[in-house]
Amino acid sequence: MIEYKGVMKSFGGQTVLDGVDLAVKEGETFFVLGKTGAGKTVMIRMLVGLIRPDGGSIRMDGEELAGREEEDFQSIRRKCGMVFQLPTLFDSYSVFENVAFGLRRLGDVEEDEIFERVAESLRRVELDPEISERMPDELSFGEQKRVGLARTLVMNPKYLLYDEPTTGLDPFTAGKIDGLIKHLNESMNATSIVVSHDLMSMKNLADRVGVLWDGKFSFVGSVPEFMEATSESVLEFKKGLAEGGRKA
Amino acid sequence: MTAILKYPAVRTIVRALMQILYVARLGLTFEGIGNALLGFLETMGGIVSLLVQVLLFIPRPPYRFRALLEQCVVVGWNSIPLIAVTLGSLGMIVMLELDFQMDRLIHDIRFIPGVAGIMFFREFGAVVVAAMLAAKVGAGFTAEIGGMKTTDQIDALELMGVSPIHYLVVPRFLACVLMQVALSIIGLFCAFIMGHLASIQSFNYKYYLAMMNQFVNWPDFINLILKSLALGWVVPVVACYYGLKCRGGARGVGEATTKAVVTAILILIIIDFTIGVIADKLVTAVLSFA
Amino acid sequence: MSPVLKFLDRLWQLPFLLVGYLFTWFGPFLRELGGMVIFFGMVIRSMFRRPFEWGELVIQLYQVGVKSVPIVIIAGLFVGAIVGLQFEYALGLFRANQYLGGIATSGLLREVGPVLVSVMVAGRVGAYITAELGTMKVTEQIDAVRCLGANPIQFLIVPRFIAVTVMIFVLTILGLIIATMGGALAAYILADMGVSKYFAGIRSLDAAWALFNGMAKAVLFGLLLSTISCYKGIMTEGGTEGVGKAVNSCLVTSSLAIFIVDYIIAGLSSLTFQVAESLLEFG
Repeated sequence: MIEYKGVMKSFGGQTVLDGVDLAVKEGETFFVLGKTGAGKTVMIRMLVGLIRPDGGSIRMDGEELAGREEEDFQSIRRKCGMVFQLPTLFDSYSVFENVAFGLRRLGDVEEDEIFERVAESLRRVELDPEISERMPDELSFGEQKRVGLARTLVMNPKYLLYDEPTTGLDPFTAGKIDGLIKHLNESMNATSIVVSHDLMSMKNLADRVGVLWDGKFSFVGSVPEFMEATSESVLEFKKGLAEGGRKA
Repeated sequence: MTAILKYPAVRTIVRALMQILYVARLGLTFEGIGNALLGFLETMGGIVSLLVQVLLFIPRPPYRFRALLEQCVVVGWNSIPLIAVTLGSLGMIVMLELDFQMDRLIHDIRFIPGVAGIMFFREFGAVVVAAMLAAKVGAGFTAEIGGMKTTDQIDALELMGVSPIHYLVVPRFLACVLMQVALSIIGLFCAFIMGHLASIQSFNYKYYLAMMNQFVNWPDFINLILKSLALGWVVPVVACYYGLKCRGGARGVGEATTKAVVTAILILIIIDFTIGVIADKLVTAVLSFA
Repeated sequence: MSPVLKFLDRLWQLPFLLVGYLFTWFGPFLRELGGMVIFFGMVIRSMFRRPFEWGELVIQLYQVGVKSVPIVIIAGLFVGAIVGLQFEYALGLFRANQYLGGIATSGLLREVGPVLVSVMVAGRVGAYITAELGTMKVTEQIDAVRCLGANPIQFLIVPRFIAVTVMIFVLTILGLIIATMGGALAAYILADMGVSKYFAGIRSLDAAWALFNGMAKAVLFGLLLSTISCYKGIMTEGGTEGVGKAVNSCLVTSSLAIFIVDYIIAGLSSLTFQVAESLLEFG
């Protein structure tokens, strides 16, 4: 259970989040829509302490996150798996070391167990475990993204946070990644928040949708409700996408 | 033996060594050595061919005086503080060190300003300024042009029918060569003044100048100018070469910048050494003729 | 950390920040300096925190040290030869050629060697570290490190910091040996001066002191360079162009720092030498 209450954030005098209220239920896939710069990424980064809120409260399983120091976020970060927009693989490490990174930080995991969990995690994202000897720059972009996903999954997180998972991919690969995310969410029974402006993947993935507009959620509801919604911000958002030539 | 492996620190070290061997495995084979050699030859060839292309492009219109002036400000004017501080400190360091050493070894400090003058004119004036320019301006060129390359701006230039070498490299080349000469003279002046200030207790103004006059002659000044011209081409050409060649986003730009600076400084040192040897032989040859 | 310690921590940062804001022109410089001092303190404190990243340290020692050896050898050889040549010319003007070995070696060990190796290593290593950390910063890899439960200062900065400091020391010693050989070679080949005659000019106390001096400088330059390059890397902002700018600024800052600190040490060392010598004579 993740709850935002009146969360505020501004960068250099410009207000990005202006009192966000949201509750994400256990086991659901929540989809955050919004145009670039609407503060979608800021919102999920606050959950892992990469950005601190200026005001308001964020609760995860009843624990308050606002006002914590860097050291106090370690327990939270074990529960949350963040999948970044870029693959963010560590260039000087092989794929195996990349995926094993988080496990090694735990300090007390046996080598055999690490080996098994890495292989399992790679299989989960539909990669051949043979790939683990290669370096990241020998892989294609799609493969790198999957390895990034595997690196997050190997920690068995309770919450999965996806930052624009399909941006910059062609529709074919994007569809595959969507399928993968859907499969993972179902098989791991994880709660996930997906941030994107891709309506196709929204249709594929979302249980519920929220539209972030002018620093607030102007709409929260299920996918059919979103398709039928006639409130001003939703219409404007759809119109903006349609004018960009990408209809849902 | 296996008992040691139980410690996590030992295990991580062993793993790191294995990773190093894995990464370096190519470098240890004949193929790796051959590739390194080929890479070296390719780089040298590329730098020389870029230099030749730039020289061929210089006389061709259109002449971009405005771009040249802008680059002169970037290269020359903006580097003056750096050159003044480094060459000023260098002047003081040379005086201090010579004072110390001549006193200890030769027990004679009369000739110190002269030896320092020779060091400034024949060596540090041109080389240190060129090395500082490599760090300040060369790295900037590589970063700028590399950034343009990774965002496809170079290709856009070529599509518009403008040669990127003519448009980007030629103004930077000319500005660097001209400003190298100017900055060498400015830097020399700073080193001269700071050297005098550092040794003002031992030598008064008149003696300092008289000694300089006795040791340093017009040929040394001409040596400085010629050397500046001979070294001036290295920084812009090497920097632009790595900038135009760079690939692969932020990582590529960072790597290209590093390589550009190191290669430029190495080439500077080698050319300087070659000039030093050849100049001496030439002078002796000319003197023996006369 | 207790609240009292935290308050003290803030307090000793205060003078730097206050003085920094006082000057508009001088401000950025002082703020940068203050930032580096605070950063240095943070790194030193994180150094003793567990777990220590041994594996990363070994990899960085290889990346920084082993890969810089060819450059240091080439540069050292040629610079030794250049210094030998120029001193030969200068000393020849007043027929003091027999002192060439002493003066050139001592000059190389005390001044040219450490400065040259540091400038070369700043170009090779400092720029490499800044570029790598800067790339990691702008491609969000540092955020990923944080999300996976590692402290970036402990995991990324501390191993690099130690590697650069240690390796500059080792590379400087290598560079000094090579440069001395380069000077002797140049004297032998180009000035027809026998190697034994060249080295006979060295006074043992001078050379020992010069070597000590050069090593002390190497340690100091190592600390300076590692602080500057890590700081510039971790502070990188603004995408691809930002990485290039960070590398550039790292190079400029480190060359300035090297020359200024070198002058300060040269001033100090000629004083300390006199003290050391008088102690030896009377002792």
